[in-house]
Amino acid sequence: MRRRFAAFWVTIGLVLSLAGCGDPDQQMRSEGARAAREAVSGVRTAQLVAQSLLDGKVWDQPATVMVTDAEEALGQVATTFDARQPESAESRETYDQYSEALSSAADGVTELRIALRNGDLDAVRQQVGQLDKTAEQLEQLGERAQ
Amino acid sequence: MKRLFAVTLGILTAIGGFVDIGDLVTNALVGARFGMRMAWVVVLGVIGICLYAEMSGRVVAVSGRPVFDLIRERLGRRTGLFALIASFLVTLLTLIAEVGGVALALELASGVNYLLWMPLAAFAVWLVIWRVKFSRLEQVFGLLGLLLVVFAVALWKLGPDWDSLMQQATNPGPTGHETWATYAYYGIALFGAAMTPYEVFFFSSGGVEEKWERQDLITARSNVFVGFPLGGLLSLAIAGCAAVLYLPAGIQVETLGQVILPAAVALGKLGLAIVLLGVFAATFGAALETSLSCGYTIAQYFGWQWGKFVRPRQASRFHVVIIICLILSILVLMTAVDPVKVTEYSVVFAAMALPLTYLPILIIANDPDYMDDQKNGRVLNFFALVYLGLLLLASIAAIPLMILTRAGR
Repeated sequence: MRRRFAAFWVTIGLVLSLAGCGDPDQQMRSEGARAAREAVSGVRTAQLVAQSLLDGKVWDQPATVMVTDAEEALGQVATTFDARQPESAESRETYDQYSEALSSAADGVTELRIALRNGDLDAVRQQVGQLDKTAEQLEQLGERAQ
Repeated sequence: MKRLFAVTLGILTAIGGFVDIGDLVTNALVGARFGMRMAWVVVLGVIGICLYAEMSGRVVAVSGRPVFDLIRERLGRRTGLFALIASFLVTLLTLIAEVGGVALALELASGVNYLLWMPLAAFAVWLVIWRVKFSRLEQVFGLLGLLLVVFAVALWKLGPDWDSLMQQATNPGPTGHETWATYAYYGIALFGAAMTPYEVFFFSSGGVEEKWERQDLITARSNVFVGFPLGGLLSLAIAGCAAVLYLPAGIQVETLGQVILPAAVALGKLGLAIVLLGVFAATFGAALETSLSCGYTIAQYFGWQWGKFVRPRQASRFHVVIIICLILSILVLMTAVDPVKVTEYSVVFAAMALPLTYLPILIIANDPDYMDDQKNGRVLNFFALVYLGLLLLASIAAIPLMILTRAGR
C-alpha cells in the first residue's frame, strides 16, 4: 500500500516536472499567442464601443468607462507577457515580436481613451480604423500557437 | 381575482428576481467563449433550483418554519453548523459581488468610479432593508429586474443565425482554442450561478415573512415552476447576445460594461438606459436578498428572533448581522479587488457548497414529523438524488479544475 502511494506521488512529480520543462521557444510562442488572443478581446471591445459612440448608440460616460476598462485589461496582458524571460535567441525574437504588438495595441486603446475624454470625434473615428488593423495583426499572432 | 393577481405578481417577481450579478457575468462570459454550447447547463441548473426551491417552499408552507431552523433541530448543532458555515460564507461572497455589481452599474451610468459608489450602495441596501416592507422590496426590485427582458429583444434585433445558435446548443463541447478543462470549469460556474444557495434560503425565509400556509402552496409552486424557468430564459438571452456579438470577434467578457454592451449595439441609447436600470435593479435586489439571507441563516441557526415581520428592535441581532455583513462587503471591495472577479469566484465556491445546502433540505422534506402528508414522493426523490449526485460531482471537481485551468484562463 505504502509502495503504491509512493509510486503515485513520484508519477505526479514527474508529470509536473515534465510540464514545467517544455521547449522554451514553444512555450514562448504559446504564451505570446495566448496573450495576443486576450489582447484582441480588449482591442475589439474598445473598437466596438467607439463605433457605437460614433453611431449615437451609447453616451460618453459609459463609453469612456468601457474603453478605460479595456485599456486596463490590455495593460495587464502586456505587463504579464513582458515579465516573461526569453531563454534563447529564438524565444527572444518571439518575445520582441509579441511584446511590440501588445504594446502597440495598448497604445492604440490609450489614444482612443484620450480622444474620447477630449470629445475629439475625428480622432475617435481615425482610431477605430487603426484599431481594426491592430486587431487583425493580433489575430494572426494569436493563431500561431495553441 | 385577488389570488390570480397574487400568483401573477409572484411569477413576474420570480422572473425578475432570478437573474443576479452571477447570472449576468457568467452567462455573458460563457456565451462569448463557447457560444450556446453551454445552454444545457442553464437548463440543468434551472430544473435543479426548481426541484429544491419547491421543496423548501413546501417545508415552510407545511411546517411554518424556515429551513435553517429545521436543519439545526433535525440534524443537530454540529452538522447544522457545518452547513451554516459553508452556506453563510458563500452567501457573504455573493453579497460582496452584488454590492460591487450595484456600484459598477452606477459607475457605467455616471462615469464616477465604482469605489466611490460602493459605500453609498451598501448604505442604500441597509436603508431599504431597515425601512421598506418585505413584500414591497421583493416586488419593486423583482419587477424592475424584468427590464432585463431587453436582452431577449436585443438578441432578436441583432439578427442572429438561429440555426447556428441551435446547432451550438445541441453540440456541447469546447470550441476554438478552448479545452475540455475550461469547458468543465465554466460549466460548474454556470451551474453554481443558477443554483446559488441564497436563493433557497431567501425563498423559504420569505415564505415565513409572508406567513405562507398550505393553501399558499399554489403561489409558491407557480413562482418556482413558471417564474424560475422564465428567468432561466433571460439567462439564455444574455448568453445568446454574447454568442452573437462577441464569439466571432474573439471578445472575452471581463467587465460589466461588456455584459450590457450588446443591448446598446442592438437598441441604441434607449436599450442602454433600460439595461442599465435592469442591471441596477437585479443587482440591488440580489444585494437585498443576500444581506437578508446572511441574517436569516445566522439568526435561524442560533434561534434568535429574525425577519422583517417584527420591528427591528425585536430582531436586533438579526439586523446587526446584516449591518456587519454590509460593512465587511465594503471593506473587501475597498481593497480594489475586481467585483467581476469576485463574482466569478463566488459562483464557483457556490458550486462547492451546494451539497451542504441541498442535502439537509432533502432530508427534512422526507421527514413525516415535519411534512405530514406533504413529504417527497418517490419520483421527486429520484430526481432530487440524481441532482445531489451532480452537485457532489461539481463540488469535488471545482477546485482541481480551478487549479488546472488557472481559474478558467
